[in-house]
Amino acid sequence: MTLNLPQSLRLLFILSCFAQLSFAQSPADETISLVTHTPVRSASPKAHPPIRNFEHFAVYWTDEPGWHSELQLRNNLIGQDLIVTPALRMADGTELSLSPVTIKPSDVVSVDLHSAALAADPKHLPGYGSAVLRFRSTVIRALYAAVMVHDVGHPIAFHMDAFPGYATLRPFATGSHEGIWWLPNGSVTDYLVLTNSAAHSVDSVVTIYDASGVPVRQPITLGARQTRRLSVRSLLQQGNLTGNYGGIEVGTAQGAGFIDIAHFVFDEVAGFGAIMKTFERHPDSKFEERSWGGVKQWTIRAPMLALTSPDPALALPSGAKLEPKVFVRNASAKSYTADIRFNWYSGSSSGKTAPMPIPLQAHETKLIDVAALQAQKTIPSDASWSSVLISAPIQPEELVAVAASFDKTLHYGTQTPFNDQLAAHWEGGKWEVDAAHDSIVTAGNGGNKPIQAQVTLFYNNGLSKYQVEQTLAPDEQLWLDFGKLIRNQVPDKNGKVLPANLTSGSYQFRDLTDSAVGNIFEGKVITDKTYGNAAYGCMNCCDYPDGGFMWTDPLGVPISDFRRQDVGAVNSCTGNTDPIGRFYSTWWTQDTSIATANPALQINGIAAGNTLDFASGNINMSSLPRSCPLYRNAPQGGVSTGKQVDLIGTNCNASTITSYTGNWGDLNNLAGCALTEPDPIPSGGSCVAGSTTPKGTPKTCYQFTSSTGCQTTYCAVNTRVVDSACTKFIDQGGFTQTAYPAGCQ
Amino acid sequence: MKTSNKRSRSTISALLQRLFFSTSRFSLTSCSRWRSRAVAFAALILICVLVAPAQTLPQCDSTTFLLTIGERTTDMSPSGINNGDWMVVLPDGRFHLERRVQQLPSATNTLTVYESSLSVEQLHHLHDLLESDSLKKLSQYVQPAIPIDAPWYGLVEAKISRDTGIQHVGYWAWLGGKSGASPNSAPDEVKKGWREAQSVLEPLLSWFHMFKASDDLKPMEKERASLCAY
Repeated sequence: MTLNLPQSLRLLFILSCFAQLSFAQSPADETISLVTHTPVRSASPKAHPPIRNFEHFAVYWTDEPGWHSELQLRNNLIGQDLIVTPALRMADGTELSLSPVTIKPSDVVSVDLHSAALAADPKHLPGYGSAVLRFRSTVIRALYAAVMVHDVGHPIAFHMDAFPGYATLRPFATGSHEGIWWLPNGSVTDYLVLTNSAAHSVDSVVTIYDASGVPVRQPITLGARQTRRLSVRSLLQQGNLTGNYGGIEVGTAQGAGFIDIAHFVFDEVAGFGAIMKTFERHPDSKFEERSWGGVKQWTIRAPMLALTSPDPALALPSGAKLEPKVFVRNASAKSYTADIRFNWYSGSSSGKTAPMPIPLQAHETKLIDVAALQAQKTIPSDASWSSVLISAPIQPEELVAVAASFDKTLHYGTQTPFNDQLAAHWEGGKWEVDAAHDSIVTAGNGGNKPIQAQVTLFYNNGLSKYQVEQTLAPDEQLWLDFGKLIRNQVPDKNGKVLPANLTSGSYQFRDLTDSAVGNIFEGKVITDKTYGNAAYGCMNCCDYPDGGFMWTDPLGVPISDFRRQDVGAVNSCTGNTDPIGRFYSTWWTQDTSIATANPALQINGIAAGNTLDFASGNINMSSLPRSCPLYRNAPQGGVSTGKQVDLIGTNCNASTITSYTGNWGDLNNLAGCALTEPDPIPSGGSCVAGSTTPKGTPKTCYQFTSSTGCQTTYCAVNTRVVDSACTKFIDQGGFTQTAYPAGCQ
Repeated sequence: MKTSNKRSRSTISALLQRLFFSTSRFSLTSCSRWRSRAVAFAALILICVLVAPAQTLPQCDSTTFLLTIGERTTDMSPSGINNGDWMVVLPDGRFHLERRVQQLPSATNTLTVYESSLSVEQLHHLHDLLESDSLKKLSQYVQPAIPIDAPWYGLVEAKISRDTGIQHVGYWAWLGGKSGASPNSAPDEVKKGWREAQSVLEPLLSWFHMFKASDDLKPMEKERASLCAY
C-alpha cells in the first residue's frame, strides 16, 4: 500500500533524513590558525589576563672591591616591550631603586649594577645583597633575568638566576632549600648566601651535613629584605665536622617562599670558582606533578658534563685534563638506592652507560668520580661531553646533585647544573660569541618518544632569528656551538646564515611534538677564552599558569555540521595564547541532544539549543617559581547551535570613512535571512583581493600595515551561524585577522 | 483580510483530513479502508515522533505553498539599514510574513511576524497576477557569484507553485562595486535576465508592497506563529 503523505510532511521527512545523513559533510572554513595567532574569541576571563605587578628576585649581587655584577634582562614577550625597574637591596635590607630598563621583544639588556647604583645614588657605597626586579605584564615569566657576578681579573664568574616571587604563586610556607657544599682544598673561600625577600623577618635553621649525614645546626633570623653571607667552612669548624663535601639544608617553618640561598666557592690564587646549585624542596610536591614523558622515577639531569678530554670549543689549553665529578646527596631522612647513568658524546659518536647503583643513607652525600669511570672505560676516554641522569624511587627534591669538571689545579674547568624539569618551551638569556667568548647549548629529549626539537637564536635586538630543528630520539641531544655557526656560516632550516659580526643575542627551545607538556631538557655554557673558564646559564620553563580556556566561547555550531573548537592558554613567557586543545584527551558536552564533541576538536550540532563543551587533559601550570609542574585541567565553554549562513558580500571602503563589512545569509532564502556585521578596523589601510571561498570566488579583504611593519589582513569568514529565527549571529568572529610576520602587532 | 484564532488546531486537522482523504481514494472495501486509515494514522504518528520530536510545525521554507516572495535591500555602509521581508502564501490563502530590519552597526535585526489569511478577493487578485503569461514565461532565477563586492544590493525572489513544479524567479540590483567583481562581473545574459525579471515582477512586487503597507496587518509573537516555525 502506498501512503500518500501531505507534501509538507514528506518534505519535512526528507529534510530530516538529510539532516541526519549530512553529519559527515566537510568542515566549515573557519579553522583556527596555529601560525597566525588568530585572536581568541573567548568570554573566559582567562583569555584576557589583566596587567599585573610582578616581582622577580635574584639571590645575590655584589659590587664590593674586586667584584663586578652584571644584571642580564631578557624580554620573553612577543610583540611587546617590557619595562623592568630593578632595585638593589643591601645586606641590611635597605633598597635602592635603579632606573627603569626598556627591553625590546626577545632582546637582552645588560646593566652594570655598580654604575646603575651610582647613577641612582651618587653616595652609594659598595656592598652586597639581593636584587628585586619589578615589572608590569599580563604574564609572570615575561622576564628572564640573571645576575652574573664576576671576580674582576680572575676566571671566576657565578650565574645567579632570578625567580618569580611567591606572591602570585602557590603559597610556600613550610619547606627547605637543599644544596651540596664543596671545599676542594683548605684555601678556597666559600659563601653561603641567605636572603629574605619578605617585608618581615623570617626564621630559618641552617643545617650543614658532613658526607655521612652528621649535622650541625644554626638557627638564623633574617630581617626584612636582608641578606646574610655565612661560611660553610666556619660552620663545619664550629660543629667539629670534617671532610670536603657534604650537604646543606636551610629549613623554614613559616615563610619558606621568601627565603633563597646560594652557595659558591672560589680561590683567587688558583683562579677557581664554582657555584653549587641549590634546590627548593616542597614537602607537598608530588612525583606525578613533576614527572612525565614516561619517566617512572624522580629523575634529574645535568646535560653538559665536560669529560676528561675537553671539547676544543671550551678553548682550554691543549693537554688540559679535567676531573669530572658528580656529588649526589640524599636530602631525605630515609635510605634508598639511586641509579646514575651517562649519555656521552664525542662529536662523531655517542653512547650510553648502563645504570649504576648509588646506595644512599639518610642525608648522606656521595662523590661519583667520573674520571675514574672513563679510566675504567665505562665511558670512552675520548668522549668530550656527557649528560648525567640520576633516578631514584623518591619524591621530588629528596635527591640533589651538583656536577663539576675542573683540572687538577682547579684553574680550568666548567660546570653543568642538574634539573628535573622537562618542558615544551624554554626561554634563555644572553649568549655571547666574540674573540674571548663562545656559547654552546644543548637540548635533549627526556621523554620516551621521539620529539621534534627547535632551537631559535634571536639577535638584532630580537628582530631577527635563526632556527634549527632536529628529531631527537629518547635521551638524544642536539648540540650547537654558536661560534661555529657564525664562523662557518652554517645555514639554518630556512637557509639563513648568522651575520659574521654577530656577538650576542638570546635563545629559545621548543618541543614541536608536544607544545603543552614537552620533554626537552636544556643546557648552556659560555666559555671565556681569556681564562679557560666557562660559566653555565639556565633558562626559564614556560607554561600556562591559569590553565586553558575554550578558544571560542560561546561557540556557534550549525545544526548537522560541526565547528572546530580548541583550548587556548596564555603562555607565561610570551604572553601569547597558544592553541593546545590537541593535548586534551577527553572532550564532551553537557547535552548530547544539542551537540556532541570529540578529541578531533570538533563540536557537532545536533539540534537547536544551548549547552556546554568540556575538555580534560594534563598541562604545565605554574605554581612554582623554578619549575613548571603538571596538573589536570578541564576548561569549559558555551555552545549554541543554529543555522549556517554563507558569505554573501563584503564592502570595503578605504578612502573616506574606512569600513569593512561582511554580509552573510541563507542562500536558499536570502530575502528572509541575511545579517550584516562591520569589522572594527584601523584606518589607513587598503582593500585587497583576499583568499577565495570554497567555490573559488575571490573575496575582498582589508589590509593594514602598522608603523612597526606588521601587516594585518582582515577578511570576512566564509560561513557563520545564526539563530534559528535568523535575528542574530550566535558564533563569534566574522573576520579573521592574519598578521605577517606571524605574531606581530 | 480576516484572522484565525484557531489556527493551530485547524492546521493539524487540515493535515489529517488530507491524509484520510488521500487514503480514501483507493478502491478498497470499507473494512480494509478503515484498516488502511488506521495504519496510515499510526504511520503518521510514527513519522511525527521520528522526524520532529521537538516541534510540530514545518519549517517556513518547506511548507506547501502557493507563493513565496521575498525582497531584500542591504546597505553595508557603516550606518546602513538592511530590510528583508519574506512571505509564504498557502493555497487556501493563509499566509506567514516575516519582516526583518537591521540598523548597522548593530549586528542583530528586529523580526516582526504576521500570520493571517488573505481575503477571497485578495487571493483571486494574487492568482490573477501569478497566472500572467509574462510571469509564466519568465526565465529561471540566477544568483550572482557570491560573495559580491558592492556596498548596496537589493534582490527580489519568488517561488510559485505550478502544475509543472516550482517556478523560481527573481533578480538582483546593486550600486557601486568593482567592475571585475561580482555582481558587476555577471555575464550580460544574466544581467539582461535580471532586467527582464525586474520588469515582469513589478506588478507582483507592487502587490507585495501594498500588502505589507496594509493597516490590517497585526504583528504577533514569533513563538506563536502556527503556519510554520523556525
